[in-house]
Amino acid sequence: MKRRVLVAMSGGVDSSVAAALMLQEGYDVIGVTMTLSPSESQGLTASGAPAPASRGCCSVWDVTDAEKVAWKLGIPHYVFNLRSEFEKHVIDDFVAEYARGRTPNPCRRCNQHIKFDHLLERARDLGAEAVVTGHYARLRRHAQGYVRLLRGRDERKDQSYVLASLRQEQLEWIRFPVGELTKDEVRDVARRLELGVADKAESMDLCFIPDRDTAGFLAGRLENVQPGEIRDTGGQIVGQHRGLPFYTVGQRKGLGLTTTSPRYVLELDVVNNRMVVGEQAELLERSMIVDELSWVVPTRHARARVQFRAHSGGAPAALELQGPDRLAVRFDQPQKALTPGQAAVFYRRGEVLGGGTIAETGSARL
Amino acid sequence: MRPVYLDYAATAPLLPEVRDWLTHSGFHSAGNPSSLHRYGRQARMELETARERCAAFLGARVEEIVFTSGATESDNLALTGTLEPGDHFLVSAVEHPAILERARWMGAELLPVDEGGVVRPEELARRLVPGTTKLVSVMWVNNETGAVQPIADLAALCREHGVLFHVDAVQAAGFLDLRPEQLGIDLLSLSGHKLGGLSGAGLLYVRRGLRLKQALAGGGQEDHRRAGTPNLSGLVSLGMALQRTRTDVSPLKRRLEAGLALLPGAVRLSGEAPHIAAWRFEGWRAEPILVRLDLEGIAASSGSACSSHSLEPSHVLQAMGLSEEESRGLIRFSLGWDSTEADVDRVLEVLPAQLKVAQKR
Repeated sequence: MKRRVLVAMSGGVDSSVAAALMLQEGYDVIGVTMTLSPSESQGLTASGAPAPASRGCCSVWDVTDAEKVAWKLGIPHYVFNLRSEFEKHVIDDFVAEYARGRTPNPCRRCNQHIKFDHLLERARDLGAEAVVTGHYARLRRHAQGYVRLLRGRDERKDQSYVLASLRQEQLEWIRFPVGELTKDEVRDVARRLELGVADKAESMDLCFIPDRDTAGFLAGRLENVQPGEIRDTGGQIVGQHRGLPFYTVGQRKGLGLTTTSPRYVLELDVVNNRMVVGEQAELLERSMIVDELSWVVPTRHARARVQFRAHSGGAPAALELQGPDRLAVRFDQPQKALTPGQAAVFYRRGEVLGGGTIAETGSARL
Repeated sequence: MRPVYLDYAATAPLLPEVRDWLTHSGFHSAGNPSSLHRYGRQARMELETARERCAAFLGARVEEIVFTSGATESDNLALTGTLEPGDHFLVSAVEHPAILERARWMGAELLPVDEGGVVRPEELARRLVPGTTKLVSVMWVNNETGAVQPIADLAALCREHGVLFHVDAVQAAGFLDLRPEQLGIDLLSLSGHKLGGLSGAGLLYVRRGLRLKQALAGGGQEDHRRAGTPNLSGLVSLGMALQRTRTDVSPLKRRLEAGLALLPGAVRLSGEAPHIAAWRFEGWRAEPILVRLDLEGIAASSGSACSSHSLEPSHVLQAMGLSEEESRGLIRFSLGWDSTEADVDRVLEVLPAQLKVAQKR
């Protein structure tokens, strides 16, 4: 009997190549696509107007692309509907986080609560030994038996940041074949195999907000959003905000301020419905508190390179555990725009040690 | 091993006589039935022979048959061709989306169903507003469960109050007697591909004397009720499918259900239609079961699939009072002209093992 794997196929080039690579290795491959985004199923909106064209990560056309690739590879392919789970675990959280004045990372949350759990269950169910995705990250087994999570070989495409919350029992079941390649190599494979997706554009947007109008999306789902004061760090009122959920820490554009030098959002104070703005230099902070901790590696280091937003290399810092789920991070150099709600991931020489969620930032309280 | 196809309610394998006609006989693709020349005449004869067959099947007159692109168009046309904006009309909560989506948009009132998925005539009587209600639409056989509606009683009620009655009979054709005039049905939708014809061809029966607003403007085909060059090969195959002698698949359904009933957690949801077995298995969503069956070469289905064929909870089961989670569990086996005992036995051989493997983990 051939060994079976389940490949999560998004219709993009990375997961298509992942499926092809597993097939080349001799596995019995089953392709699956998850539909997550709620916007697609409605052909008409309540008013009878056509729904906005969606080309998010799981639009019907991406599903079709995945099916074409699967057909070309000669593997069975299924579509799993996870819309209600996605709505509950990702979108509701996304909205709630903004309401709390934080800036969530829904892709990480989806990986944490939906994608992998669900796929692993299906994989076991279908007698598969692993779940395969097209993420740019690498897995290695440590001599002591546990699985290590490393940055992808293509550092510019590395996605380990959104995978850091995966647990050992999940990593045991996962394969990331394209993490061993560069994006160019992946596109080459797709072209050589004529998969038809080699030159497809990358999906950079949130899959459930294909029109990129996050403010509009939030406005439709949040109640009690009130305009409020914008103050500077001296306590002076300098303007009005439209409602805190529509802003993010570090933001400069769209504040409607008429100051001589540029002002940046420093803090979203939900309790007082107040935004604090300041100069770029005031965005710099040296420390933060991280909670919702999870660890890939059992050893805990006192120092690490800490990455606190997607597609940035991170910066060296000292870690200090202050409680079972509270870790203080002190950067060697002050950092710009540490944003509550975003993930903080701790690396050592390109290997993920663990990660968590930025809870508070600033020096005063730490 | 012979693949097992038990999804006739989605679409049926092409009938051999249709395949023969397409490949060997006089079908001439150059003929437009509206043309003057001999090819036009031949096409016209093919088309009108098909119409005669459809009319004979329904005990209707040829002028009562409006050919369409399929049941979705027929269903839409039944509503848009008879109703004015603001008209009060009723559709059952378990209709096919072809009715339901259009009806929602036009502001229909939903007729609830009982726990068997059936519209009770007294429920219709309670909601009919004499002198105001313009139309009622209820499907003959439900496509997800095979529930058979009391069409004769519902039709009589409508007739009594002068209300138009439309029936989506897609799943009833080939399995039940369809005599719209006898029962007092004003409008009835059919499609060919569920019976082994080509897809893309259907009809709307429109009772003589009932004026239908033009659906598509154009060349005036179909007696000015539905313009456009007809899908000749599809409509000929529709006529052939309706002319075919009915296959009685009810012994196969009984055999299948006797076996399914023994499986752990099995809950029967089937209606009385002879070709649809609808079940769920306690604790199971449909998807994993259908995937396992497919990997074993058995094609079955769940009630409803969206455009990306991922499964949504069944609106039919929800209307019958099942929870959203239970409504994700519907497994539908549907039988047809080429179904055999071996097909059924293969399901009963594979399914128990698949359910057991998963429960062990």
